[in-house]
Amino acid sequence: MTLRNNLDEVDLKILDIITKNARIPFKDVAKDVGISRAAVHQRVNRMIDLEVITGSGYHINPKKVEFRTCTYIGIFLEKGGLFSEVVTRLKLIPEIVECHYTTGQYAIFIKVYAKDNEHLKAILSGEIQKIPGVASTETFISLEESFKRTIPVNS
Amino acid sequence: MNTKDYLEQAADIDELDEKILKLITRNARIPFLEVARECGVSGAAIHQRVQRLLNIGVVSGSEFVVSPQKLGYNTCAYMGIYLDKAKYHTQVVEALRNIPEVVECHYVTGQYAIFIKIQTKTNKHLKKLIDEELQEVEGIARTETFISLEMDFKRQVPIK
Repeated sequence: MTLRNNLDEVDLKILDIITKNARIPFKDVAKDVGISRAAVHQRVNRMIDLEVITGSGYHINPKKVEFRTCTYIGIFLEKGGLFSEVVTRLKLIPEIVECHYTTGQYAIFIKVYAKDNEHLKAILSGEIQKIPGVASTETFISLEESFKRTIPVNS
Repeated sequence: MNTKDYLEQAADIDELDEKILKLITRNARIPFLEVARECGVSGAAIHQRVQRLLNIGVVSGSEFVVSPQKLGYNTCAYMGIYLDKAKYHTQVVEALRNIPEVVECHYVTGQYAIFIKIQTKTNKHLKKLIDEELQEVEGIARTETFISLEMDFKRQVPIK
């Protein structure tokens, strides 16, 4: 189900601006969009209520906080039914930043940030592979993140 | 590509920085005075610290997080790309950059040369994107697609 139809041009314009800079004063957004500051507030609150906006935050550059190794890992399970138990355990490992239930050869697909290869190895063999239900894993180390961005809002 | 990438050093950050990071990565619009109160320092100090974190690149900006589904982007897929020849890498990445639905792109070890994340409105939209845009990119030999049926969680790296 999409709520896109409940959003008008002004909403999308506001989203486009605030998804790029969350701390922009609403006064400036108002000027850009051509409505009052109070209206911007109201619209943002409405989009929060509709859960179009799910939060806000500063982006951390993982490399600068010593997380230099970015890895994708495909996980094979012993049985498909073990999925939710395994996800619950994965959630407890803070270095796992993303977790998906995917089609294709893997049952679960995750993204992991580790400080170095040694740390990655510790997470893999010491934590992930010890979870009951995990049969095997396949690791793809990202040597370079060529780009990362959000979905196009205005289309 | 930044030639100094491989030299990127971890930044010098102390406990106060970490405390600030924890608060502002969860809520970008939190008043700095509130951050100041929680950390037991002045509002001006928080301003200074955040500015420094921005300057040294520990934080690269801020954003409102949107729900792709609510914006009509219902299909999330990962795709491994095989190249005809490894040397096509740069030109393929440039071509991928021009496709807005490709939201992430990595140069990876393992069987694939490039690994990307795609957000599309529907499966049909995904199929169209693969057919008409991705397979048209010169240098791409073939692709393997994993559709994410459910994103269980997504979060930032842990701050000590």
